[in-house]
Amino acid sequence: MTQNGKKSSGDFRYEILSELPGMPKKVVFIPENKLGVGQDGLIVKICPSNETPWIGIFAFGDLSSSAECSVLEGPGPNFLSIVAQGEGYIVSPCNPRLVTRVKVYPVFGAVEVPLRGLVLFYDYTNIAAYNESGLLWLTKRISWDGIEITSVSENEIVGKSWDSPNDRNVEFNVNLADGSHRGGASPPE
Amino acid sequence: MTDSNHASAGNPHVDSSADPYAASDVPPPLSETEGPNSELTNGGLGEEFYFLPNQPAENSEFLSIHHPRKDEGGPAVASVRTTITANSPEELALCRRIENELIGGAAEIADMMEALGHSLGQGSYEREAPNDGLQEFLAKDPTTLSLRALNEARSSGRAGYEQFTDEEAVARFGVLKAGIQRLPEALITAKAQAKEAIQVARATARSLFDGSSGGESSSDNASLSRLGTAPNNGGTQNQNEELLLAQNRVRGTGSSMGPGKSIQGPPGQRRLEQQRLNNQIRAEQKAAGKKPSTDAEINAVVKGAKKPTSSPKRIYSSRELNRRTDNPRKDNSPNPNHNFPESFNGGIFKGTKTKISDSYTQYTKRGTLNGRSGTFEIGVRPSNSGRSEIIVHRFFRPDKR
Repeated sequence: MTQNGKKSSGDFRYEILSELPGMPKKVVFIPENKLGVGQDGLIVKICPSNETPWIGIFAFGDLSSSAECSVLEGPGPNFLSIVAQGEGYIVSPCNPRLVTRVKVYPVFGAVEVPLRGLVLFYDYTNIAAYNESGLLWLTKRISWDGIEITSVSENEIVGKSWDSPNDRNVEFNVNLADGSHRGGASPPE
Repeated sequence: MTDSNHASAGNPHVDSSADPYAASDVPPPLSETEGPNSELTNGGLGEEFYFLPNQPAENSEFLSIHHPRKDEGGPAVASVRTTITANSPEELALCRRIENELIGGAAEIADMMEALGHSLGQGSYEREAPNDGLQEFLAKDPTTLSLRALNEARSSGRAGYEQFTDEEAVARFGVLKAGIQRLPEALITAKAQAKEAIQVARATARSLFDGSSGGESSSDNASLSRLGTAPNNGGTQNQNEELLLAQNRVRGTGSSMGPGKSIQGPPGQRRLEQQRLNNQIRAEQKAAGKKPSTDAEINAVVKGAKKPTSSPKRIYSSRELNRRTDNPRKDNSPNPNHNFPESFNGGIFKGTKTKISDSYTQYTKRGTLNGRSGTFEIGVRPSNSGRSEIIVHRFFRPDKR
């Protein structure tokens, strides 16, 4: 499995690797382990234009190997978002120590919203939006069990969520500005 | 690429539908609760017993077996949470016996897990070596546990210590799996034995209570109060004393049901034991100048006390069953958030019940799954008769970070 992505600004390049290359110069396990033993994860080679290239091993979540593994550019021009079998990370390509694990879990997918400089992460019941400063908002619970994002426009997210008592999917709309939502279904708080 | 995780899971089967006490109108002298938020105590009269060997409080809502990742450190932990409030010396003794049994069973598995953890932590599995043996093992039983064990072995292999062969790795996982399977059985047996002893005691007490004709005696009112049957007047006092005395008799030193013992063994032996108990009760009744109860009378009460409550029959909807293998587990590998052990249901149905609508009820209970805390949810749709319920929603929702 190898995917390539190239930052249009030319600030950095990244590449998903299927295995560690021989004699790597700089390998960083994320999250960093105090005991010096890392956890297996998604291997991403990141080459900042003015820095030493490094290889990040982003620890997998506990979803199966068929779950989403991807790298997105954003939030903003200075970060990458990584989804690794249920775990979500936001990392600075220039500084591997600058990393955030996203609030939702397990992460089923991530969606870029370049116009707003956001990356959205979603799990079974909630959607979280991150910008360059960190977590911008986290929706209230909008589904009993399962979210499907159908479209993302400049102002809102449209998707379907599961309404268990009525045994059907219902549409929801989430305001990208503040995370408030209309529609959806969830148990009483 | 492989993923690496710890192995955990397991649960004692505690099914609310099998609770035999609810059918009885005798005030229960020994209350059983499952409290998720209570602190670990192991005390005397009036205190709750928590059967939690080596158990951190936050992980104590269900039986859990936690094999920590190497980066977490520490030993493996096996635990079960059941609480029984001891309100009399006899109940205290009974609780201690159950506690010993439960701790013994759980500790065995904890030791096994720890040994396995040491083995894997200090050894390794050749990551790139052919693993036909493991694949064959997993093909036979593709459980989360097996997959995680495999991943554990693979990730250990990266450490580059001694190498395990496929056969060794398979054997180790087999031992682990067998141990985990044995634990719930041991717990179920221990709990069933305890319940049976308590049922017999209650039933016999009730039998005597119904057949008593009074008679003054000097009972310990404090003990009666602890049992929740403190006397209100003279007549009631006599009846309560009968109740207390009967309980003491069947659990006391003069009985085959004394502290630390319960009716055990094969059915034939249990019948003999019950017969002996009945004879003893009759002898005591005769000595007290009362009409001895017949076997039928005593057994009828025992039977009545054991009669289970009429809880609804629960079946799964097709949506719920399909959900267990839904995306993102495209390869039908287990989906722990929807495919957690069946035995968790009993505990969840004892949790918080919320009626969403006439046709939908939700049960929730806090718990942990694979080391993550969250909420177990089960949504059911009752039939018109109320005798059946369709489980349409069964989900573990992890807490947000």
